[in-house]
Amino acid sequence: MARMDTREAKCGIRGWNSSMKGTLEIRRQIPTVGALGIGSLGFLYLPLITVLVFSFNKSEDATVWGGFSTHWYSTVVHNSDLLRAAKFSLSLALPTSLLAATLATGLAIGLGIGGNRRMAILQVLVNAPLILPEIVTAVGTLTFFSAVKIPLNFTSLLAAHVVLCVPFAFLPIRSRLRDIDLSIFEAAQDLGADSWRVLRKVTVPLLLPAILAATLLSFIISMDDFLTSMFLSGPNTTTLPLYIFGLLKLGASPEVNVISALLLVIPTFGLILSLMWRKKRGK
Amino acid sequence: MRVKRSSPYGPARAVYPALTLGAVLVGAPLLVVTLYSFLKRGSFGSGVVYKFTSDAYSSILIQTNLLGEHSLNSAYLGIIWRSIILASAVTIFCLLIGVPTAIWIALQTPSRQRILVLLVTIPFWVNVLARTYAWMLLLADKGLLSKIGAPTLLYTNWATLIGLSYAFLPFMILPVYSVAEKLDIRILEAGFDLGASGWRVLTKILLPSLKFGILSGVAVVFIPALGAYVQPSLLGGNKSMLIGSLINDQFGESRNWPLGSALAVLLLAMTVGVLSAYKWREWTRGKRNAESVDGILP
Repeated sequence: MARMDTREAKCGIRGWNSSMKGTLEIRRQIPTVGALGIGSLGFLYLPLITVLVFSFNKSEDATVWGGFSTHWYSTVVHNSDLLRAAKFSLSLALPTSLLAATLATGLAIGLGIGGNRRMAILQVLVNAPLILPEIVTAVGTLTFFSAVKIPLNFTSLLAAHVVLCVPFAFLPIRSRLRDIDLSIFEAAQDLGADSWRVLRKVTVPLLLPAILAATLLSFIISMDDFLTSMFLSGPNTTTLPLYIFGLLKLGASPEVNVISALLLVIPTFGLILSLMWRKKRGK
Repeated sequence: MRVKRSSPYGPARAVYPALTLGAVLVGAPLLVVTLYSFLKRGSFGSGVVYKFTSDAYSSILIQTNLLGEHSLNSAYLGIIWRSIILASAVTIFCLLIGVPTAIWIALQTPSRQRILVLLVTIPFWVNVLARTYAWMLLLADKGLLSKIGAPTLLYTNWATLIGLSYAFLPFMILPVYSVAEKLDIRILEAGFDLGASGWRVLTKILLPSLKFGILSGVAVVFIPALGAYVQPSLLGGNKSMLIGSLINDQFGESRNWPLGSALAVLLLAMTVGVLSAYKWREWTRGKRNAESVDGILP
């Protein structure tokens, strides 16, 4: 019994793992669950691994293996159009992520615990890009910009990207806020801190990891975004995904293999680094 | 003592920048696109003429031939119908694969669960174009799957189905997992102890307890699949057009903004329909049962 208790404490999930008998029973009785689980991981990773392997293909033919080579990597890093598009995307994603994280932090803090009833409809609107098909918001923004005669340029694209990112940035911040013990904030107030002081001295320091996560999330969403950028792209606003989409329309090529492999490796690497950093910080 | 002020975390005014943004850049655009869908098509290039008409909507439904005879517009209705069928097929595929996967993950030890959840999340972080391209490589004529005897699927509806299911599978796995993970396994054990078969435990206990996760998974897969553009236009052929491409055409080559707006409004209406069915359930069944849905759905 005592052993069971420590295990429960270690797992942190009551009931679930304390009863391995049930787990084994289910696995034995419903074997398809395991097979489908492993199968779906295979389904998720087969394409990614294929792209990764074929980015090192020597052959001119993108789909036929012709030996190992890093030749196409050097072609890609010297492609000036690609680099220009990548630079543009970075210059857009950076301010987007900072603005989105700031706005989302303000939203989470200002809404408080229960949220603001009178503002409910506005909250739905802020969150709408999360659930609406992106093409709807993109078309809406395009017609809106055209109706009020806002030109399609860097600033208008930036605004659209921020709108897209805020609801995503809001998620980690709010979930962190819910995990923090309320009495901390009450203590700060009882000790005479006004709301701005609570914000600066208590809330923001406690939220910092979540704000960073929100920034990273927004950065990746902005870097990845295709549809909004397509509808709102002006003369000089070719983002990286827009440039790549143009290449993809032409079909498979060794260069696209490499670009796709880079798009796969870079965010994954960033994600794992941020997780490791968070884990280290947690200890 | 409970704090009296509306927010214990800081000034309540901090909401205004985000809410203003929502009102101006989400609310107003949705109103404008609805307005545009009721206007006349601009005679030059793009844009609209400010004159009320419901032509855009009737042209989706009815076509008029050269003799002035009216008939149902099979082209547009066919595209809409195909989009609904394809989005439903994607949802069913994700259900069949995603729900067992979520259950399987929840049955692992906590440390393994974390790794598996990470593995499911990683593809979501990879650019959608790169993920779609991977399927172009696999499904192409002379592609890798054709070497092991699979038929060439690229530029067919099947390729779109695979590409969309691939893109949205994590959206099904994660909400179902987050409910499954909280489930007390002793309930299942009790079922086995009382003599129920595996199938019976699955259908009578496990799936009903996962209902809310499954429902939110269905919503977050079906809705984006309905309005998808990237996968259908790269993997599907010219003959298998979907709503997304049709809308895009109206703002590009066809230059028919009112029709494009009307189709976007239609997509919006379908989304709101799916969500209100969901919310209705939530209201009639009382409390919020699925924490996971919270945040995914507004």
